Amino acid sequence: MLSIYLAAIDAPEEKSKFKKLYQLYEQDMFKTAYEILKTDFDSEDAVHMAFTNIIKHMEKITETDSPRTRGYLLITVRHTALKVLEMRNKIVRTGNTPAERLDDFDLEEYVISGIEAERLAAVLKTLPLEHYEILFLEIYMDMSITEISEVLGITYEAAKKRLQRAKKKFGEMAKEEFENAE
Amino acid sequence: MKKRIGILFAVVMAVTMLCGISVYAVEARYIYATSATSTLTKQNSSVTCTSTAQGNSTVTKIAATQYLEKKDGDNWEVVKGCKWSSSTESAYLYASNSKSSLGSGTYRLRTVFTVYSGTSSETIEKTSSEVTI
Amino acid sequence: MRNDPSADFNAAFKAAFDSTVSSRIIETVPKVPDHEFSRRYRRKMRKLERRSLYAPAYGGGIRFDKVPPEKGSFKKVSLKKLFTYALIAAILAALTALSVGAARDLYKKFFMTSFDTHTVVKSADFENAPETIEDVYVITKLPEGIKLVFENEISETTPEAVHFYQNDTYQFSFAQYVKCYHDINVNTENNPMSNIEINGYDGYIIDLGNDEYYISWDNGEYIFDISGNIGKNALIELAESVQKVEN
Repeated sequence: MLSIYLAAIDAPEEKSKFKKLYQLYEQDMFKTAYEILKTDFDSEDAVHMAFTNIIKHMEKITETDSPRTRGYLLITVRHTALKVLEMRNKIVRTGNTPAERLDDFDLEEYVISGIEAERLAAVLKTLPLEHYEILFLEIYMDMSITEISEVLGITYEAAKKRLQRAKKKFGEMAKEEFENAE
Repeated sequence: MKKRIGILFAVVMAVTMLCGISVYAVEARYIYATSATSTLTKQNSSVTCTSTAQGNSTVTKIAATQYLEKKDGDNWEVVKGCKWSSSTESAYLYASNSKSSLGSGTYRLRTVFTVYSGTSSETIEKTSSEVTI
Repeated sequence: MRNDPSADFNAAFKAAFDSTVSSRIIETVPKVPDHEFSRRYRRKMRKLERRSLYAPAYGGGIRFDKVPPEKGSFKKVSLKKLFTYALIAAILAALTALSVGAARDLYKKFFMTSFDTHTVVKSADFENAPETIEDVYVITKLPEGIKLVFENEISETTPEAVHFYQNDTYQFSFAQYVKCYHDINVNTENNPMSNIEINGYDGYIIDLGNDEYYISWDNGEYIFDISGNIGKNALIELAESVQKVEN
């Protein structure tokens, strides 16, 4: 039985790109989701939902087979799985502490020119995971706040606040790290 | 997979029997429908019944049946002569009908849409909020 | 090299991510045997793969991005599948009746109730808004080659002014709603909804797949929506061109 597919196979590169992506990463993505959701059914759903999300930002993936891409997909599926868990348990994730005032945080303030990647990496190694992930999306994947909010499944405002919190924490840890290194 | 559906079905049947809720086969997944509205507005003792539905670009036809219903105790009864059907050979349907000289009471507009994409279709239902005359 | 410190910083940061992504993300994947994916998953992924053909490739301008599917040719299902779908539909209907989704995050002007297959959207503040269509709004930047095929008559009891445009390959609707009567079911089944601003007004956008989108916004007086298969950017431009007709 041959279904009639669309005439427009005008982007064969895109087609094989998507296929390459799930062939390379669906196992790791499933295992990540399964650790959170503990059922095959939900974990498969989470992987599928993650790919629905990833399609929307396909242009962000420049090389299909790379650690950067693997990291991005794993971060996406982790948050998709958390969202599925939330919906399953009817938990409302509180991302915002209303009383908190977060000023616009400039990461570069904390970085003296000449700082090398190694020093930044030292901080990244111990930065709390949720902060690592959101900075990954903004800096490594070059994503806007709107795009980040789509990947994490949260509102624009919530994404903005989380990003600010991540930068603040990074700055604090960086300051400590560089002062200790002196 | 089939076993899972079977078990799920059995569980659902059991639960619905306990809850006394009737299971409709009417509502399906929203595969082709983009949006649907069913609105009742009034002016003195007349009402206007407006229903719209939009389908995605694969949709070839939409049919709709509007039911103007009046509350009678715990039940809703269709007002006599107030069942209207319409259809369009496109992906957008708009239906508007009026009824005047209605007796006092509480009314609502229930619309049942069938959205077709080739030979496949789905049925969705939308009910307006209640209007009191 | 030292000319743009910001670029240096960015590059250094990226290099830092290069060297940490393995230990922080990749190596944390549990070391368990591979999973054998179900037929259901494979089917869904094939469908997604088709959809990936229509990932927006262009930016800006009212340009129609791609050739949409032929009408009516989208699905050919066997009887067995049809029966399975019907069974699933009945189960979903029952489950939907039993479990009502919670209200969504923070769409200030809209009150939303989510279900598995759709979301019901109403106006969250209609106190000071007109109760009839007093002023008519239209799309002022209509693309060439597309015709208005339907428009409704407006009276004092009409809750919405609707327009439907179509040509051989494209279609879109544009509607203006009296806020207090706004009550609409929108397709959010596997279709993500997110915030959007149209000319500074609060709104939301739903990605329906296959380059079809639904956008709705509140300009204080009325709620509007616009929906079609002309691509996201084109749809946003049309939305932003909506203006009141001055008499």
